[in-house]
Amino acid sequence: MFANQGFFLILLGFICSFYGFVAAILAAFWRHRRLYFSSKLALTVTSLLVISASGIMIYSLFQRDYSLAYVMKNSSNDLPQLFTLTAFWSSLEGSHMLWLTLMTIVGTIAAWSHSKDNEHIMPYVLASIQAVICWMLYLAWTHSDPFLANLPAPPNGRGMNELLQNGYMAIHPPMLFTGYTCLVVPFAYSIAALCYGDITEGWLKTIRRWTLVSFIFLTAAITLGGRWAYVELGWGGYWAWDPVENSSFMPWLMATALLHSLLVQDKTGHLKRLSLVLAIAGFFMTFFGTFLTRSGVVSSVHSFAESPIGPNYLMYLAALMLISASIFAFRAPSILPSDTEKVWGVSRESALVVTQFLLISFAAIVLIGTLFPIVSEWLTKQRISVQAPYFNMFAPWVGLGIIFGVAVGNLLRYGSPAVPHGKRIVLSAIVFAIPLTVALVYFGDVMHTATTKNLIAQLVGLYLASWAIGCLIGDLYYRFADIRFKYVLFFKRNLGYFGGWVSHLGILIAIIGFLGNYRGMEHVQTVKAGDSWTYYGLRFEFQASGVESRQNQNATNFTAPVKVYRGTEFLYDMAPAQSLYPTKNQTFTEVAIEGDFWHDVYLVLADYDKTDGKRATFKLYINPTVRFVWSAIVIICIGGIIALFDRYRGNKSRDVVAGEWETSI
Amino acid sequence: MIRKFGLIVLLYLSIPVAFAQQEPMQEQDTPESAAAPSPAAEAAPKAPEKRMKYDSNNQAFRDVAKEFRCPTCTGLSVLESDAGFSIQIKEQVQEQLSLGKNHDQIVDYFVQRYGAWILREPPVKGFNALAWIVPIALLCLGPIVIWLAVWKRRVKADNHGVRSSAVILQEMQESLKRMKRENG
Repeated sequence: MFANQGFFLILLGFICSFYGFVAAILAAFWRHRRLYFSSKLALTVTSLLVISASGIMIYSLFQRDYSLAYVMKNSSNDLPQLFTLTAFWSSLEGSHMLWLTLMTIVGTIAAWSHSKDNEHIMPYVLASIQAVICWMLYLAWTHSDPFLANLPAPPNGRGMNELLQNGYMAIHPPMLFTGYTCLVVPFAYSIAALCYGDITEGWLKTIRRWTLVSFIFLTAAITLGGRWAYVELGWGGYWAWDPVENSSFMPWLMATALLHSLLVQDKTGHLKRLSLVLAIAGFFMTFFGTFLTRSGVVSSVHSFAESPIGPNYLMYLAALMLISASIFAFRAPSILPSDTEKVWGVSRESALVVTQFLLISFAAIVLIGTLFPIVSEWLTKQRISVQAPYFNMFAPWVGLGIIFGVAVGNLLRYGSPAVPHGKRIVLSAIVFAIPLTVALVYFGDVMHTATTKNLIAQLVGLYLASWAIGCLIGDLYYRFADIRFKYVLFFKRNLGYFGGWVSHLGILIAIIGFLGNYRGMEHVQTVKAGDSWTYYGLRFEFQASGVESRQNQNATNFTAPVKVYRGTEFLYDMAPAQSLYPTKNQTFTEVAIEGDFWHDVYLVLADYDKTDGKRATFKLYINPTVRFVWSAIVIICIGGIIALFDRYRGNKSRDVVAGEWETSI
Repeated sequence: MIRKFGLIVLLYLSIPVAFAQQEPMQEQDTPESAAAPSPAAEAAPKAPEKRMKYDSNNQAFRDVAKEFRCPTCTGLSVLESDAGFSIQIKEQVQEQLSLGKNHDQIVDYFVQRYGAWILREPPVKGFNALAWIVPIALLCLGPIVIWLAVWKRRVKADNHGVRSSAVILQEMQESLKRMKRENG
């Protein structure tokens, strides 16, 4: 019904943002203030147009208006309310639309919320943001048009992808795209700083804030994606190093590296150019990852040509890289170095450089692993796979480096090799780590399934992570002690440090959680109704009633009730199921997850006797320390949020105050 | 008559393919990636005459099965997957095991049959070795490069960001020498 209106809004938005882009560039060249305001308004209008278009899409979804192809393909009459809304981003065109909407909103916020000192680089910022928005709008009315008409309208739609009918998929994509879009601001400010020729006052503050917001959203979104995979896909894990996952992980690594580089820039005035490169590269990665996963190029180079999105994305990315790289090449010499001499001795900035090296090389490894099948097929005409075992070969070494970086780096001080209380902290952490490791080994039941090889890896990993936690705690303690435990004073001045401290603690806890993957257990069992089996000290009793059919919103669940006992003590009621959706003639697994803090009991109904439901095959996974990972990520995000409230106290780099407008109207 | 028979055979042969497509694409992470043509279409194993029952709890079987990728999924091994092709590969693994072959022999057998693609990591041979060499070189040489850069810079300045007097003296002497040379 609204196909034309929606299309019209998008086209209008495209024209509007194109105007805004041109106006911003002219405003920058002529230093023309009114033109700059005009461009800013154009961005605002674009965002209103795009939001209206999204509104129309959501309205059409709720109206079940199948005259829109997108609605027809991604929803059906039986969809519950929540999933009718999330159908908006359940497929390519819609998720593009969501991304676009968030991009315009973030762009508008960035345009209106800049600090006074930055006003004169804002035309460049606006131009960069609107160039990106303009291209996304171009894609939205050409190759990924969400308002494609489908006439005559069928009575029912094809239904939403059943795997996406899950609460986590309701929040994962908006958060991920928010994280992606927030990276556009550091990107735009970097381009602006390069074009303007220097880093202006307040530049770092703005970039740091947006990168931190992006970091928080990306961290949460990646974890929610992992959580979705964990509860929905039923293979017992949360991270498969899938290209889709990798493409969300690479921007995260870049954003994290950028945060650390900004810290060095803030405190010493060095690494300005690295920050610029990282900001640009991080933003590039968000689109590059999307290109990899959405163009079909990852599955095979041959599928690349089939989607019109692919070549378009490729051109865009090439243009983005070429323009950014040439701006950098021509303008980077104008970014003045710090007036302090470079000192890369034993100091905190050196530790930060090492951390960045680890993060960037990890991103490079993930990128190589993701791209290698394509390159190899292209060059050798032979297909190969690069999957989890490859990445798992390198990840522990990076993790090892991160543990040392976190532990030692936090003890060091800027610009000085003196480590106050260093020896005492490190030594007491070595002692502190022993009981902690023993507790982790005991409660986590490390000895139960260990083979010699992964036992050593686990013990070393657990010990070092505990040691690093000890170092962190010691560092915080002495920081308190140094100001005689005046906590109010501490938190007034050091929220940035404290936020980082909390996040680092979270990372270490997450690493302890990841180590649990070494000792996951899996068992397959076929039982008759009323029978039970024992595994890992737990007795699983498949209830005599057999498989029952239950209605759950739009799905019919075939549930196999299982009671879990330890000895005679009743523990959990579990109900793994297979669900059948009205729109598709196939079943999906509904996993049952129970457990305590240390172990997850993860039960999948793999198969059952369809005639009477009295016989079923279960897949049982015992997953240790998965909850460590979830809680660690919450801790990391809380740390990020704490750091957001840090009162910024200026930086040491030689920043300039930007010049005047040519026309001061 | 022959044509009819041929049709029946064709139909029969298409059963495993249809079966594989009907399987829940659980492993597909996103709806978009589902659009990718299944690479299994080329590597489709022929349906075995009699179905081998495999025991997923058997450690030897698990060790072999986790080496191979599930042809239709994006990131899983056949062990973790219950897609049609994964089940067929698992049955073949069981068949090979029951022939008394060991882990490496079975892996070689599958690589010969399906190509290196069936393995979950690139083989360390020819061009594909780069996938291993580059990251290892990056991780090992990177710190050395940084260290060298640090080492070079460090002699220029002391710990407080001020160039040490020794360095300044040395520089002055050098420039004095140069000036002397230039002025004759």
